Amino acid sequence: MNRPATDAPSALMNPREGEKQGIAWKPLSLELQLWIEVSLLIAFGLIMIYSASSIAALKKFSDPNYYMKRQLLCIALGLPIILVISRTPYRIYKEYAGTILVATLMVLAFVLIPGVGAEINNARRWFRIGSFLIQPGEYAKVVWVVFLSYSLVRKQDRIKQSRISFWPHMVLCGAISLLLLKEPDFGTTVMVVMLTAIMLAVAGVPCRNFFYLLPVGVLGVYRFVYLVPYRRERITAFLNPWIDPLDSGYQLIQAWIAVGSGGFLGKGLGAGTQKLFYLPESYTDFIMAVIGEELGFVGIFTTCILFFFLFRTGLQISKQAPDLLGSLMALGLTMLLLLQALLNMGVVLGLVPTKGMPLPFISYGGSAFTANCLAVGLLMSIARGSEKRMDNNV
Amino acid sequence: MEKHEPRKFLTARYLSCRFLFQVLVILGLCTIVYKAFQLQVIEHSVWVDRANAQLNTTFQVPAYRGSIYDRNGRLLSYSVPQRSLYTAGFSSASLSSESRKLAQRLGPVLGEPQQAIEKKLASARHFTWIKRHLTDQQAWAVENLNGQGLNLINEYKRFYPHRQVGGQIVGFVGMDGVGLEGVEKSFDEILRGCSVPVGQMRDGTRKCLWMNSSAPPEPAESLGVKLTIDAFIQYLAECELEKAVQKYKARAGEVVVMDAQTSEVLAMANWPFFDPNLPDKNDAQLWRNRTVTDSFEPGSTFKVFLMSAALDENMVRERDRIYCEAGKCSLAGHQIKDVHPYGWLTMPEVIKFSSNIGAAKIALHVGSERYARYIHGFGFGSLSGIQLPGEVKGLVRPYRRWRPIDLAVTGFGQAIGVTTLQLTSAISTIANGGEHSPPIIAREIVDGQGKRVQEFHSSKDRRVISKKTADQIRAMMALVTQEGGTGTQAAPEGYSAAGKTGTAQVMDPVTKRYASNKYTAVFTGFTPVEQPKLVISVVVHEPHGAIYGGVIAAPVFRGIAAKALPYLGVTPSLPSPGPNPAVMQVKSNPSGNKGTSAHAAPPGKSGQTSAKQSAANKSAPGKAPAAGAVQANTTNKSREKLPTAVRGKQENPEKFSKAEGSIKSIY
Repeated sequence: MNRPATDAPSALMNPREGEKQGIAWKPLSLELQLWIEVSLLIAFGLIMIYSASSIAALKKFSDPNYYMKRQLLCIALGLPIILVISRTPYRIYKEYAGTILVATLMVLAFVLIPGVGAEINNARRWFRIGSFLIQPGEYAKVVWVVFLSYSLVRKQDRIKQSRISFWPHMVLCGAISLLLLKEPDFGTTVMVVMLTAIMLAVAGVPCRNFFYLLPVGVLGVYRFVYLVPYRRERITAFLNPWIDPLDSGYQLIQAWIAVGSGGFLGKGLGAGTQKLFYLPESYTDFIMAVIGEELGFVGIFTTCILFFFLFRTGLQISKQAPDLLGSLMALGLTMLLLLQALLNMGVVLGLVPTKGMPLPFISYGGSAFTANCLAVGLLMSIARGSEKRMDNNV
Repeated sequence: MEKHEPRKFLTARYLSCRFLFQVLVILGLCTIVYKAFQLQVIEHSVWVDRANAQLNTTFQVPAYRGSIYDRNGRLLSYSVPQRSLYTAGFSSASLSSESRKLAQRLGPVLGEPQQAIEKKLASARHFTWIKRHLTDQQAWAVENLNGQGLNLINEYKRFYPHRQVGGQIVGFVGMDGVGLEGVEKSFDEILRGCSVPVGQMRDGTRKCLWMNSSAPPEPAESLGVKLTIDAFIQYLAECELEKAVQKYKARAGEVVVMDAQTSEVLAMANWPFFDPNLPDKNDAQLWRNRTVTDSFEPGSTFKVFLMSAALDENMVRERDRIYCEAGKCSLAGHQIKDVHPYGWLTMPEVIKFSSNIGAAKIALHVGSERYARYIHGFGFGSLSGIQLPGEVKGLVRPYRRWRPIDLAVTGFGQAIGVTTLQLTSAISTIANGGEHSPPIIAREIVDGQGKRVQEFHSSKDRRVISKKTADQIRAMMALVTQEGGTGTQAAPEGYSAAGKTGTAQVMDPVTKRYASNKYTAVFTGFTPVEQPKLVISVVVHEPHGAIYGGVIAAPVFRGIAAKALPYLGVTPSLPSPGPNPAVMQVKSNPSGNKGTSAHAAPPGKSGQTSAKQSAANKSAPGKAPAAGAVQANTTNKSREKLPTAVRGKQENPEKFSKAEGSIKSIY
């Protein structure tokens, strides 16, 4: 081997050296980064859904591939959504933002009507279309972020006026929350409230306003957590699951057993045993436990790294957005994805009280998946906008 | 990327919030990673234990009763699943009409009266058997009825494919599979078995997972018992016994066949027979294995043990003669009679001619204590320890309470009770050279696949008499089956046999006196004499038309031995009489003389001959008419040998008497 041949790869691998030698280190575009990250998450999720659900699917539908097939269908539906939304300028929603929100509120109200919304496990959150269940609450989160960013941009000049920038949004947030709590869907409610706070804070709404809400928040917690027996039970189970290990503490203990017994490298893909009906919701909300069991600490760490990269890319998009609207929306959507991921993993690991919250792109579930695709599509659309602008600038 | 300047419209609030979120999210991810690390690396072993604790379980593989085999693995008893019909109770509303309708349909299927079925159906209890152990056809028909409240369940029913063969040995089980008699009872715990725990994984619904095996294991057969019984010999013994019993219209009969070398019981026949498939249809009296549960007075067969004691204690010598009072004498205030009057008899002759007076005199000479010691030594008066239920010790009263007359009559086997098995075992002790080993009925414990789990052996536990004494007694017993002896009918063709006849009076249970017309005919002995293989005791209770053991029981002995010995591969050591005795006579004359006797014929003789010859010899007794032809075909070598044996047999009585002392002088 002669020297130039050996030099070439190292030059390619080391960006600094490349810079030195005048080779431009062109980073991947934000949209492409997002594509890679989301694709990895989706692929990883599909594998884990197959591993976690095959036994349950075999038992319930005599087809071990049942849930994986349906998830594939969701992916087939979700990827075009990303493609279409990412190629649609995000500004065009400006005019319809209000309409979309009103429509969403109406849908959320509709789903509460017995006979219209499907009731499963004492919760009425879904519309049944064929064998598919559509959960409007999942889309409401995205819609709410989009609406808030438009609304806040519109009111940017009067942002310091609480009457304009704070209270109207709080009223709307309260309305959505009440509708969601009526279903009941506590996880989505928490997300909506948190996103509202984040968006308002970022947009510059005076901080003192949040203190006004403290008593409301306390009252809300009292009314919707303390007075609702199963939620209170979840809190006590979260604080000490061993008080009632076979009932309220069961889920958390089983998740811990799954994750803990996985060890550093895990039991091996597919070799987990907790999905054998020990772990409830093993392929939806508690899929992280299966990942922890089968792929070990390495699996959880890798998942966290993937979400971290998604987060970084999202923040970059927000920072480089062509306008405040894109910036706010990108931040909100990124936080939407990340908060869900953090809360889900926190629930599985017992860091947060149990609430129904899927892990974005990994958990089984069509509505959440397509809603997240919607969010990613919007993020890409914003990223494309900034790229275009940069290209124009260059 | 960082080279791009933040947009103008991004406020400080935005930037600080963004920074805050960045920190918070990174903190959150770190917390998650830390928590995962804590669970998965630091506390890993704790959670593995918890996972295993809830995952691992033991599955009890159900077991059904094990089988009973004969020594060659033939099934004597096994369990077969059969369906039983029960009702779990009707709902009270539809009670009367429904159950009547159902009973009407069930009646013809089950072949039982409708009223009885209706009554059972209407029972208020949660569980009522309607009929157990249905036939397959019945179960199928019941299934097709689709009757509400009718349920079928698998139960295991015991089958005894050989029916009455060995019925009392095998015993039977009750409706719920508990052994009630025989081996079924004595090995009940082993046979019944228990479910076998198997390490298994279970899922969250506490169901067992069958990941490596495709299906849950079938109910396993529990441990079985392989008996020492040989079904063929058992059948043989039963046939021969039945012949004798029916010929003499006897009340009952028993036969025990034992392997002389191993003390294994090969057969235990009890007449009347008993079919364990139908225990309820037989008199409960028939369930007993009377060879161990009933004792009888052994009569003259007991003289053998008296003689053993006398010789072993050096109280008499073989050549000593005893005066037998010409058939009638008064001893210890009672009259004792002989069947035939004798004058002076040597010790072997006392056995050969079975003189009661001689035996009584010897008994009085030996004395209670010594005699009793030998009686117990041979195993009388104590349990043999055989694994069969209901064994009795027999009746041996403490010698200190024996009156002289008791001692005298015990000398010829009256006033003492023994079981057929005890008698056989004691004879086996003599046949074995004086060492006692307890009889055994079970050979092996085997698992459901027939693989041996445990083996039983009978080991010699004590020496009762010296080897020399045993040899002397064996020689005396051999005389019994020879010309002039009481048991000539016991000798099977081609084989030498030794034994002792007995004809005992039977105590009337009501009058407590010996009944004048009731006897027990006994023959006990072993064959072949040189190297005993079989010990056989035959007991026939209360025969009619004849009473003597030599007449009634001895032919049974011969019948069993003549067929069982070739079956067991024992080659004949004596030639069959053949079609023409004259030829034999001619052949025997040239070689002319002394020194050889049947019992002294080297046992290895047949072993030395080639396989071909032994095969020819073996076939000889079986094909008596063709025996001449067989002999003609044998090689020169065997022809040289055969006359020796012939001579041995024919000259034996004379030679023996010459060697042991002049019999003529006594007459």
